[in-house]
Amino acid sequence: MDNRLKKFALILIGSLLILMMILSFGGRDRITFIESKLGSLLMPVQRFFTSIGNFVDEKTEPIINVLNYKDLNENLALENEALKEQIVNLTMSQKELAELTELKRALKYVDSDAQIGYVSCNVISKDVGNWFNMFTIDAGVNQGINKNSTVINGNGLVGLVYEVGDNWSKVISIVDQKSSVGFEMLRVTDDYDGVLSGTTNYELIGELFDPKASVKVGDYIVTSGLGMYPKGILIGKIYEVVVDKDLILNKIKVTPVVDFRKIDKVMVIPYVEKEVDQEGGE
Amino acid sequence: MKYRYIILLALVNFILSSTLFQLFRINGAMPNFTIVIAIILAALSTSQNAYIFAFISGAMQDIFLGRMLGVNFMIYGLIVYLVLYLVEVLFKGNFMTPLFLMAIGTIIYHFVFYLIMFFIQSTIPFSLMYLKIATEIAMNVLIGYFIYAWVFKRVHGYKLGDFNA
Repeated sequence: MDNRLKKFALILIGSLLILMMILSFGGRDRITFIESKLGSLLMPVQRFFTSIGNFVDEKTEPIINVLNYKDLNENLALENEALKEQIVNLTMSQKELAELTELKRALKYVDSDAQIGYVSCNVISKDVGNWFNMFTIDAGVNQGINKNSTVINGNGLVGLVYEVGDNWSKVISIVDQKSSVGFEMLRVTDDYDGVLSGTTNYELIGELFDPKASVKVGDYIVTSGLGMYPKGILIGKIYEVVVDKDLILNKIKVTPVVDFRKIDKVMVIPYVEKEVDQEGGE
Repeated sequence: MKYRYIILLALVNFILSSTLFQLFRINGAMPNFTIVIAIILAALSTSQNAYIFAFISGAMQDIFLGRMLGVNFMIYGLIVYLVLYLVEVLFKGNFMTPLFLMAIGTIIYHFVFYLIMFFIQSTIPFSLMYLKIATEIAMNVLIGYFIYAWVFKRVHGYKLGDFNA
């Protein structure tokens, strides 16, 4: 009887756990009071240890990478040359843009891309397991963050807020599988669109919507504004274009501009649901 | 060991694993101290201690860093359940025992995790994960062996693998 009761209890607990997994998959809109408070309690301790870890990492990195500095210098010199050329082109574009902005103001055109405020915060803990790349940040509902807010850092797109507590939030990075991002090319002409997904190995694989799209290695890609992410955030650089005649859509492999192994500070753009404006501005 | 020390151990383990121990990632993988400690508690302490540690650690990982609730909670509980069966037939004083337990515990963790992710259609191709898993197994076995040997000596008063004791 005792054994039968044990087996029954095991099956019951197992079923409850499976139900809990199904219900919580995809991130909950609201987490419980206990979870939120526990997170707020642990946050200062985690922040302290993370800062020690970052300090040690910062101090030991130059020693570990001392042999790579020659290559790094050469690459930076080449990049510097290319950037100088870009500055000249961009200055010309900037002048044109200033004229157009002036014209827009003169015509009283309604600005639909008003920039939203950022919330700056620290990464306080990272995933313990080796399957996903989730981490927590020290800002939550009290700082104005909501579910599906966009997380960026100085380099580009980092990820999306998955669950939110009072003073902390859980973030899922774009390099996680099943984390889809709508992208477009960072070009003046030939504006190809597509969708990217993570691979867990700190790289992204994307599919271009246009089967005849011509892209090349070294092109940069940005968010297209389709889906959760705002338009125009830098995602990464194409390092391989997979042309397979059996595939209808061309595939690209992308190196993210963000170094996911070393993220310590991020900025969060709160999620605002897009309203479909049927009439449009005149 | 008193329950409050086990709870404290689970808390300290979670805090350090999610912060400072991130420095020790090799090939993108870090050792899973929760598996290591849960196995050692199951083999050398009581089953209650092992279950309490496994459930608290699993719940913390699910709440703060998991994609859904209950996954780690269930897997760590399952590992303890299976290890408790295994240590009944294994000789705890053999130096091969911790090596075997750590390896099997880590394999079970990834196998069950893969199965759960498969059923929710959120799995990652094994070809992308094998290097990370292999590295984690190696690290868990190595670290687990030394911690097991140290705890074994403290509990039994003689060295692990010392058959003349």
